[in-house]
Amino acid sequence: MLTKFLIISKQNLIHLLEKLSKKFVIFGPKKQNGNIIIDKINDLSHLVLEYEGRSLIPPKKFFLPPTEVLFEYEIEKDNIKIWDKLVELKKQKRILIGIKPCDISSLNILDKVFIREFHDPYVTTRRQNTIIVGITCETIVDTCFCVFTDSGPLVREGFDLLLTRIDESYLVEVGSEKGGQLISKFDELFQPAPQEFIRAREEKMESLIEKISSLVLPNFSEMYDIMVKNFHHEIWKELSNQCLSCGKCNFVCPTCYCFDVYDDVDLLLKHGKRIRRWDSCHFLSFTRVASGEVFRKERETRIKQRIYHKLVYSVNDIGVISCVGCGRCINVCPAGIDIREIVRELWRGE
Amino acid sequence: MKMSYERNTKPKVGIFTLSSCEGCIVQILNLEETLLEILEHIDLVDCRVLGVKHVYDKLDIAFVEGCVMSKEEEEEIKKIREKTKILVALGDCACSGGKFMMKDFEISELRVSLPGGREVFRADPIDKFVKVNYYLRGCPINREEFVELVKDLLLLRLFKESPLSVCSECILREQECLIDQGYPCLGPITRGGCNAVCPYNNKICYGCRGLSEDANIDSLINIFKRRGIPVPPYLLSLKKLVISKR
Repeated sequence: MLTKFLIISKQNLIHLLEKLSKKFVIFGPKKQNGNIIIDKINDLSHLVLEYEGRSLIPPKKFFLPPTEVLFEYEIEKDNIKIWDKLVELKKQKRILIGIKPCDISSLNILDKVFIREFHDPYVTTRRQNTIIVGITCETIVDTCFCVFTDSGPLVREGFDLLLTRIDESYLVEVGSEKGGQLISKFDELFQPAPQEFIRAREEKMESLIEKISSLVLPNFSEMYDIMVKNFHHEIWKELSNQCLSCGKCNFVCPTCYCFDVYDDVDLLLKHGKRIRRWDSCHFLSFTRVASGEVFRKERETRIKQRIYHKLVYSVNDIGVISCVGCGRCINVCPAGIDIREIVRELWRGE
Repeated sequence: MKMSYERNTKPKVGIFTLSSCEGCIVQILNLEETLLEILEHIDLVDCRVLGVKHVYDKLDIAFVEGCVMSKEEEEEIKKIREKTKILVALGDCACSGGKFMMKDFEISELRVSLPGGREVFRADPIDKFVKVNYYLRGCPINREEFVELVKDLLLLRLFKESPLSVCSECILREQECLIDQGYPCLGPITRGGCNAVCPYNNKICYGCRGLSEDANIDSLINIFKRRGIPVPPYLLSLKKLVISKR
């Protein structure tokens, strides 16, 4: 049985990553133009493990990239050759370090869609080849509400290792066999965790929960019936006057996964690529079919689609809501549309 | 729309210029080797800039850049339409009137006077006079997008404009929002496909690709007002224009 809790000093963590970087490509948070973005870490001194809030674009981009070539093909008379990108993906070995509990929860939700509901080989392969090293939050930002979506400040599964800063060290929770095996070769860098470290983490979490709980909100999982009842509530009309249909909320949402698939053929019309690209339910083109008909012409129906998918349709399809309370959509909306206010208003109307 | 070319012949293509800076055709010329590849698949019969002027009755495809600013141009675009199967509006001028349309915005600083005492009635997009089959937007056009369009036309496939907004393309490049920094960026209501080239380079989006489908101009004006961002006069004029077109 592996030890569940260990500690590692900040210095030793960097040593560990240096050693691991010989075998794995490391992705983690770094600063870019004032934003925290999660990107390939070529120089470990650029890694920013302690940051407020969460990255601008969620880690889903590492499993379902914004644009991705699925396969390439060549047509030579009657012969069609196919190069599946899956072959290269299977060789990849990655470590994704520094993602927050809300984002780990979002990956668990995406698994239900891409692994259990459908079997998407590209997403599944990337998930299997990526080691997740999460980190718990130090503080909250004013758009955080993970407590109300049961997705933070602590997660129970979906990570291989989970770090919590305690003074100048990190408390490491081993979350999977894969995580245990990864560090078992580097015993000398770790120490067993004393009880007070585990207690310190609990205290940290309690203080985070207390801060977030000052918001007056229901648990989002309990909104199902209220949402169903309020499908024709006046709030949707009001929101449709504000929404710009820009689609930003979809792209920053860690659980929005809709995509479009198209072919890019070369000029000789012999060689081509099949490409998958993120799509947004806020765009009119999202529901446009071959005849030209659009099923969600009114902006109101498109706004509803996103919110109802999170709180109702997702429960129908995969058994859980698909909002993790990261608050990214609130941060980026130019119109200031706030999912918490929508939920609060409908909940209070009850 | 019925689209087919004569069997075993290359489609006959013309490229035409109305009132514009000819920047869009320069984009096509900048394709260099790719342009030579394209020319292998088409029969270019009319292009003033390249000095091509063959005798022909009908065209399969006509690319038209520029907007309509005179009676002569109105006649010209109607003539082109009559002999063409597929008409493509090339660039912001042809698609929506472009920069020239600003003279109708009643903004005193932008008043335009044309040389030679030419009679001007207004700057109009070509679809005011003729049916347009495809729009290739932007000022100037994006040459990669032009190649995509040509490929689709050669494959007899429907060309799909980018579904994205400039705003959504900007966030994919993980940029800090210019509106959040207090600038009147039109990214949220502008059609994407340009990969947010302006906001990515810290310049606000002026909407050169035209309004996105179902653009909510009112809301953007309110957002600017609420945040104390001066509302650009062209945004108010754009609104007037949209209402007048309805």
